[in-house]
Amino acid sequence: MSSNIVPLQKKGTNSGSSDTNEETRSAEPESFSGQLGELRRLIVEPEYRKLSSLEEVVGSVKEKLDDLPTTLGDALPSAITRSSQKDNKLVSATRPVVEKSIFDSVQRNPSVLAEALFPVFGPAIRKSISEALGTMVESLNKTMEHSLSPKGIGWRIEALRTGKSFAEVVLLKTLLFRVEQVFMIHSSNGVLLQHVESDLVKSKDPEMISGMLTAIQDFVQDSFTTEESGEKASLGSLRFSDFVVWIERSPDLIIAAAIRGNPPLSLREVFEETTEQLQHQYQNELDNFSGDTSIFEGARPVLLECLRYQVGDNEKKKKSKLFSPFGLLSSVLVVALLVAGFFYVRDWWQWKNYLSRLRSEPGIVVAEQERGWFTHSIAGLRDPQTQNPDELLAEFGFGKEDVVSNWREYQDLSPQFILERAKKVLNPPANVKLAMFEDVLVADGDSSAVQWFNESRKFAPAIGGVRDFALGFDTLKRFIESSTVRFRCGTLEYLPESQATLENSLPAIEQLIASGKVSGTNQVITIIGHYSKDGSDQVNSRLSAQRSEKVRNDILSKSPKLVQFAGNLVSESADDKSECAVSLKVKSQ
Amino acid sequence: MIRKKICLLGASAVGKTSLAQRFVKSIYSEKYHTTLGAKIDKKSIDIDGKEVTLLVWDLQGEDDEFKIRPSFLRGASGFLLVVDLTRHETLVTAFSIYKMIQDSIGGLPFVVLFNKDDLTDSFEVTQDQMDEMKQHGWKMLRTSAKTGENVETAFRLLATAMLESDNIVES
Repeated sequence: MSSNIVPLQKKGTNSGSSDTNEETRSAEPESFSGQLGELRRLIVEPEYRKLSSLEEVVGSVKEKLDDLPTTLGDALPSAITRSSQKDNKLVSATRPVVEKSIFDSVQRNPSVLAEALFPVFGPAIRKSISEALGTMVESLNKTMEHSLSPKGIGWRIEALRTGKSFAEVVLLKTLLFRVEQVFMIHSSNGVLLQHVESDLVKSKDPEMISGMLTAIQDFVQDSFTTEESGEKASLGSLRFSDFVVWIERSPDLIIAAAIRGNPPLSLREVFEETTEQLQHQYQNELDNFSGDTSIFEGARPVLLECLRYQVGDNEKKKKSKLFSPFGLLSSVLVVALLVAGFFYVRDWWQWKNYLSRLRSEPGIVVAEQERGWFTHSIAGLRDPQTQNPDELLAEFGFGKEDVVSNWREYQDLSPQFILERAKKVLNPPANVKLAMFEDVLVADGDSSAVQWFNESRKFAPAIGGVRDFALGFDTLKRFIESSTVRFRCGTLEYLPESQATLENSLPAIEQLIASGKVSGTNQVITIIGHYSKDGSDQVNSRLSAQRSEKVRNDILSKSPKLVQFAGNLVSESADDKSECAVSLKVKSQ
Repeated sequence: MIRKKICLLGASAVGKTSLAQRFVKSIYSEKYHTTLGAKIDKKSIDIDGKEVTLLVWDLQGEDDEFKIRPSFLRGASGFLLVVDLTRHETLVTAFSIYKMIQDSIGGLPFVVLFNKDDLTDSFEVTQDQMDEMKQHGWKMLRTSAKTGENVETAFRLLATAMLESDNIVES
């Protein structure tokens, strides 16, 4: 609109054409010339000025209105910000509008909003699924509680041990799978965009397979989408006995994975994320796809990442267990343990035998013994006459350095040791036999023994274990009975050697009687006087009696010890005309 | 690598499948027609040094009992329409298929194949009819699955048309 003030026209003319008047808007009108003009101007000028200022105002308002979209556009964002900071009036005011707009958009074309919200749906859905899965696992747990196969029991133990639920362990264990191929397909026409396969697989024509997969998808959708729900049925996976094809969809993509075996649920997430990622990354290329698949080359690394596999812990592991590092190590350990065990047992056995040998050996007393890991120790007493226990070690398989021994010497007071000792100390002649009767050392032998006895007597008590040293009964008897006291014939005079004989016999007699008493027998020594055939019988018979009497008296006077045993000395005379002597006879009563 | 989806359409028993058989690579058998309604074949052509792979969706023939599944047509870059020269009604069917496509997808390159050219004694479609259609801008070829006449050409023609259409769109 243009506001024009029709300027004052020339007299008579009134063109009214706005075009020509525009230029003269702010200029003085021509008609102000002359006196009449002057008058006119005087009258009109105030109004004129008012009008022209009004026109300016209106003009600037017009300018502002023209600029309104721009200025409003600039001002609107900050106005909105300010308003929303102040209160929620704007929010509630626009809510109905926004809601209606969303409705409108969905009715016109749901895929617009669906596409826009797709990146949001993915994580939200995943989250709710994993929660749902959690509860599913729980109930799965309960139903599996009754499975009692050996494998199941093993898995149950593992569940307890690792703190996972049993169902989790089960799902984890059934892990044998290999992703063999991955197809990246344009969802609208089934054209294969990219294809990766694992080395071990020779795939059939992947381009045709992609087309067919899409055709099947369409078929499922057509057949099973219900009008009411409006939800598009879509194929999630094709499952065979040991093979599965997982199909993930995004608005423009289908990612299909051919997996042999039993893939874990966690793998599905990998494909979901891959699909989302590729959809987002290649949004433009997918929208404008005209058949050139080379533009999707960059997707290959992502797809190759999906070619995962996992070998289960069943058969394969059993075979290699022996040769795995762990297997080798454990078998080495087992062998080492066996060897160590063997040596340990052998050592124990040897030590046991050594000890029992020592313990059975007389003159050796084992006080302490200890079997250590590397050396043993032993301590005790040994009689010097025994074999050194250290020398026995070799016999039982021990070296001198294996055993720390501490043997102290002692004197064993058992008879055999005393005898040995006595023999060493007293050094008896060959024909002397030594024996122990309790703590009395008894020597037996012939006459020469007696002399040796007399000489050795004083050393005897020094021998450990010997309380007394005595001649044996038979020896005594023999000795006494051989101690014939000779007289000069016809007289009561001793022959020169008879004194000694008599004196020598005294100890024997003492011993005999004393030991007899000890052993409970009464030894009677008969002192028998004899006479020879020379001389008269009458004199001689008196002589024999006198002789025996003399000897008896001499014995008693020379040996105070025998005085108490006077009753054991009996004198007799014999009429055997044998010799001029007195013989002694021992009788036991 | 250029890959494009094309559909092979027509009434039942016009010889679509026999036509394609000799010139395409196939891993799927006939039974897919009756079960799924579609069979995917592959045809590779070299157009001016560019290797073009055609994914041929050989769809079950349309007749009174069976209509082509629209979802199978989704995303196609072009199509081959097959008519049986010895049965006029197949031309009518072809036309209705053409209309259906125009209404839903619209503006796709296509070639019409007049098949069974070897059965010269039994033609029901006349050359005049064919010329008239040519006037309307239809690309067409006489083909014979038996002799192999023009089959390779048909694919090549369609491929070229599709590439041209791409170039137009891009520029």
